[in-house]
Amino acid sequence: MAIATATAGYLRGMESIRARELSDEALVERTQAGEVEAFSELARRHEQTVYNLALRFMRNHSLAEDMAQEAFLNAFRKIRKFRGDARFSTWLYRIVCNTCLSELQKRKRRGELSATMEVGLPETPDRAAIHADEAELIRRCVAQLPKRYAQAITLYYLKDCSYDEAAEIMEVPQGTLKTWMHRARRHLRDIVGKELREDHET
Amino acid sequence: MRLEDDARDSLDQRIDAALRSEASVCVPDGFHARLKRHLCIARMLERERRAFRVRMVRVAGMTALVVAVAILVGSYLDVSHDFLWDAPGFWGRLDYLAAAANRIWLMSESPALSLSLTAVVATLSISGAFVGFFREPRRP
Repeated sequence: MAIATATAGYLRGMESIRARELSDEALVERTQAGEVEAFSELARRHEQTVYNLALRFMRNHSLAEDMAQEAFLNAFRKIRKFRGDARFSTWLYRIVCNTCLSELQKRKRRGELSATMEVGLPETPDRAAIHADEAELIRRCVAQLPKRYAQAITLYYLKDCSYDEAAEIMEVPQGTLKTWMHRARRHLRDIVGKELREDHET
Repeated sequence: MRLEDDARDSLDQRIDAALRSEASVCVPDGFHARLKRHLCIARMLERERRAFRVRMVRVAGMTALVVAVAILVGSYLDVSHDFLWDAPGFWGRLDYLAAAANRIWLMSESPALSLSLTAVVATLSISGAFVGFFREPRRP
C-alpha cells in the first residue's frame, strides 16, 4: 500500500515536471484533450498576474481571490473555444477583466459600491485611512471610470502587461487605446480632484 | 490660467506616480490548492453533464424506436382484434373509464380551457425539468 502511494506520488511529480517544460500552447492542447494537470500548470504560471489584475479592479484581497478563481474556472470551461489566434495569456487576461468588470457592474447596480470603492467588507479600511493615503485614494478612484477606461488604465499600468498586449486584450487598435487612455486620464483627474477637494472641505 | 495648468500637471504627475508605484503582491497561501480542487469539481460536473446528455439521447432514441416499431407492427397486424377481444372485461372497463371521463368533462366549466392549461403546464414542467440539466453551472 505504501509502495503504491509512493509510486503514485512519484508519477504525479514526474507529470508535473514534464508539464513545467512545456510551452503554454502545448499545455492548452493537453487541456483541450482533457488533462486537468496541464491547466493547473498554466494557472500556476499566470496566477500572480491574474491575482494582481483582479486586485487592481476589486481593491479587496478576498474579492480579488474570488474573482481570480472564477476567472480561471471560466477559462477552464471555455478552453475548447480557444483557437490559438492570440496568446493564451492575452485570452486569459481578457477573461479576468470581463469577470471583474461584470462583478463590479453587479455591485454598482446593487448599490454596494461607494464613490471610492469602499465595498463595506471587514477587510476594507475606513474612509479616513483611505483618504490619508493619497496614492491608495487615486487607485480606488479608477473604479469610478466608465468600464473601458477603467480597463485601459488598469491594463496599462499592470507591470507584466505591455502596451501592445493591453490593446490586444481589449481587442482594439493601438490608436484607439491611446485615445481611451487620454480620455481616461482626463476623467480620472476630474474624479481625483473632486475627491481631494471634498476631503479638504471636511 | 497658468496656475490652473500647473495644478493640473501636478495632479497628473501624482496620478501617474500613484498608479505606477503600486507593487505586485503574491497570491494568498493555498490559492493554487483551492483552484485545483475547483478544477477537479468542474471537470466532474462537465463529465456528468456529457454523460447525462448521452443517456437522454439514447433514451429518446429507444423510445422513438419502440413507438415506431409498435406503429409498424400495429399497422400490419390486427392487434385490437387479437388482444382486446381476448382480454376478459376489457371493453367493460373501457366503458367505465369513458363514462367517468365524460362526467368529469361535463362538470368543468370550460373543457377546452382546462385541456389547454393542462397541456401548457405539462409542457412547462417537462421543459423545466430538462432545462436545469443543460444550464451553465453556477459559481462555486
